[in-house]
Amino acid sequence: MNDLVTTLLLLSVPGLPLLLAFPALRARLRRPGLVALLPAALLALLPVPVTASLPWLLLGSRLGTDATGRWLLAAMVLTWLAASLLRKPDDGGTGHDHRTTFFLLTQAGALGVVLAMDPAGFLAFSTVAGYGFYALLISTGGGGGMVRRGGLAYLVLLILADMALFEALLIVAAADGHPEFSSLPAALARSDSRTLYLAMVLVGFGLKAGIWPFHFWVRQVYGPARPVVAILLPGVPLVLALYGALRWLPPDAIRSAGAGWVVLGVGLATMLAAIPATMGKTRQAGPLVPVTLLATGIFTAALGMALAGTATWSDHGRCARLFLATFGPAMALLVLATRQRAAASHAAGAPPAGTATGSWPWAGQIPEAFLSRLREIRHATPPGWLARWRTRAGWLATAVSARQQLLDTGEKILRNWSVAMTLFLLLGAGLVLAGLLF
Amino acid sequence: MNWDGWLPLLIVLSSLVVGLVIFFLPEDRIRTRTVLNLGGALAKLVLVGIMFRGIFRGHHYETRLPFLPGLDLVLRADALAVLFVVLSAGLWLVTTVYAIGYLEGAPHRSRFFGFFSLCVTASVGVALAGNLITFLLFYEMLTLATYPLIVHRGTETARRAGRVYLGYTIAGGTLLLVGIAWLHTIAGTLEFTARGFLASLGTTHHASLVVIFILLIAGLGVKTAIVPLHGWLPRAMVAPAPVSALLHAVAVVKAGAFGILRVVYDVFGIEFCDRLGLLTPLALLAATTIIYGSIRALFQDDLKRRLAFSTVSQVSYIVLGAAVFGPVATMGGLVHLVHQGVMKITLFFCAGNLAETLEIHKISEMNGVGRRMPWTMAAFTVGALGMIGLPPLAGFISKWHLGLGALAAGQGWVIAVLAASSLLNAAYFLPILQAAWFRPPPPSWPADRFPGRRETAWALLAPPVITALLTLGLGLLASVPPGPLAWTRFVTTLEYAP
Repeated sequence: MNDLVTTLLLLSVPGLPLLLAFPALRARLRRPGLVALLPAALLALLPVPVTASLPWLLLGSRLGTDATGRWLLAAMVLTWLAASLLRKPDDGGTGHDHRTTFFLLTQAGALGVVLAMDPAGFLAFSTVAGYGFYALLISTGGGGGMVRRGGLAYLVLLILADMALFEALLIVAAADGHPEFSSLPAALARSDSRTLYLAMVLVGFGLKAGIWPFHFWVRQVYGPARPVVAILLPGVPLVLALYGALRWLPPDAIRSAGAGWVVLGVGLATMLAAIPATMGKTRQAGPLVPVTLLATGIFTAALGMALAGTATWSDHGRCARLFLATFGPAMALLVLATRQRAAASHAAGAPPAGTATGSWPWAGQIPEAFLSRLREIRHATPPGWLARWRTRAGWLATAVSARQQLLDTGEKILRNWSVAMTLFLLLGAGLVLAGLLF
Repeated sequence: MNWDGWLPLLIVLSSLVVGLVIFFLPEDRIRTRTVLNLGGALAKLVLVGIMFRGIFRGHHYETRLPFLPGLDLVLRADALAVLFVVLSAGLWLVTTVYAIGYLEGAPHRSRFFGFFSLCVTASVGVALAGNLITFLLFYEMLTLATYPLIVHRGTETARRAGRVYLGYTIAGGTLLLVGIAWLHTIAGTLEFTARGFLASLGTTHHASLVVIFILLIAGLGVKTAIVPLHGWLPRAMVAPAPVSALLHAVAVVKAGAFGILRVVYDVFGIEFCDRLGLLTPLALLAATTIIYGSIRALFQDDLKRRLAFSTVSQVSYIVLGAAVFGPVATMGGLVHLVHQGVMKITLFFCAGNLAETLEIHKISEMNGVGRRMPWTMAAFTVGALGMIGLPPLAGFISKWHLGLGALAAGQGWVIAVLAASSLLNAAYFLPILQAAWFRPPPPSWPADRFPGRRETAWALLAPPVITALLTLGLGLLASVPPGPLAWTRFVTTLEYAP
């Protein structure tokens, strides 16, 4: 394919949704999300991988599709197609719905992440997708306080994750200028801070992927979320985080037994965290929360095994890629099925899904006795355990309150004693200066 | 004197003459004043464009006028000067458009625009100064030209803020004067030279040079708002929004930061600074300011005060870049001179729009304002996210180079400072965005100048939108020559040449 056409096509995949995010440019479109998806759909249908070098973009970027990227792009198209169809059409062409802007920004970022062939580009697009998704979550999430709290937790984790990834990016760039994913293993081999890089990447994507112990926001958001958000939650931020881990830590090129076992442990813990998610308030989301946690846990555990060197990634890595490509659309189908069932139950006068016992679509496949037993365990927790946890939680609340008071007092002192503080800082700076100079 | 000799002088005069003419214009000559303002700003921009193109083609621009025996007034366009001049001239045009809209119907506009032009003249003079004495003259002129702008409203608070400003800056100027005079007695010259003119002195005057360095940095640190010399900046927020924008993005704090760059690179030379052991204390001072400014910003409910403390923090990135030895960190510091200006001016324009249109001054009053003023808040969002350093915005490019430079220099602690600062930036900017976009608006606003018609006046809306787009462009297209990043690479080549 002609280089110019390739470049334009690749640029239009994130570029068109980005342009349509401007209200004036989508004023006459009723479903701008669908229109914005056209270049991505076209690219996903191309039988050959394509790449384009864009030295003028950011710090010099490269966009393209490889074997993994193409399948993931196709999956993204399906996920976004489902989400776009579920959204209400824009009203009469004013285009001033800022939720549509957030939707399109998230779409641009997500599609860009799939095409990014270098870590800097990946980070840039994933930032757009991450913050866009947060805005979408808060503005269309529904569910009031619960979604808002979950969204806030997601935002905090996102900021921390982006900072960790920024540090990781600096480490590889210090070793190899501006590496692409293909040259990442070589750059890391030259770096003295390989372990730090590994830690930063694992923390960064761990925070973004909603794995244990940072999975609480997934539970808070999923239950009361509107269908669009419920479809996009696994299909965009979670899948992109797992995809990022795969890109930034090519398991066939990086081995670290210690990190591998830790990741494996975290993966298993995430899978276990799915069990309590089948009960309590999050049950109103039906099977979505446990399935999401199980799936991310399994993927994380597999990644850990590969890093530890106990699995032959070259043989089984394809399964991970297949998992990534199917997770989003599969979850979209599950969301649609769950909502459909809930709507049908509601219309028939039955209690909504999640309030009736054993009303999940997949409940027939799991012995009811096992579920009842799990519920029993949860409700009949030994009193000692419960009391201990309550004590701990109480201590935590007291500690948080004390810290807040300490901060408030500190701020009051700063306000009232600004001259004294200034003199104190001046004295400190002078002492440091004198110590260093003489 | 040929054209190349006249050009720096013409650039300075383009706003000086306009300013002097505007002073004598009657208040009701609105159209003449607008034409003069915009004409002067455009003329300066065109002249700066010619100079920029000429520098690329190898021209040497220098105006030299006799001043004192052995000391000339020198205006010279070297690579570093061009970076600051382009920023000043570009943002002056945008700020002029904004100020015309902002002060529509306000009293004393001739006085305001007269001093406004003098202020830009002084900034451009600071940028083009070819030696320390010329620098000092324009630096002091800047102090005197900005004072009437700060007290423009004439309220008691404004007058008090003006007195504080004058006290701080005159004290700083005095320190600077003492330092320069002492330096002249030791070195015998004050001409800015790539890689510094003091390196040849060796370590014969080690103690004196250290004290002179401290005097110069303290003198310049007042305008740069380095902690603990920053007290004037948050108080100066009583000034009208275009003045705040000018103070924070183009003129005063930038003149101080630019002066520190001149002292480190073209007076002492970065290698000599390193040999004298001056860089680490400077870096520590900058790091303290970065963290302190961010922490103070967290607790401000007044929007402009929060932005002021943010400036205290952000301008020290430039100083930090200068204090970390190595070309990449230098690039980070220099490019932040431009990026911070563009991002911060966007934020101040938006704060001005909120105050002027809805009389919103406090963050606690900003709930749901994104629905009433979407373009203003979109621009504010871009500026704030850029300040946090999120890719692909301009702030990311600065932090990227600063971080990379710190790693190259083996100063990993700088990364921790950058990370802490980014976290704090997020902590004080994101709640504003959260309130503006996601909280329900109040039943009515404190005031509404354009009820049900449009967001605000075009002259107020266009400048922040333009600078927000610039913030995006400077990040997305950072690698495109002759952008600021490419230009800073050029400057760095000169400063680190063997």
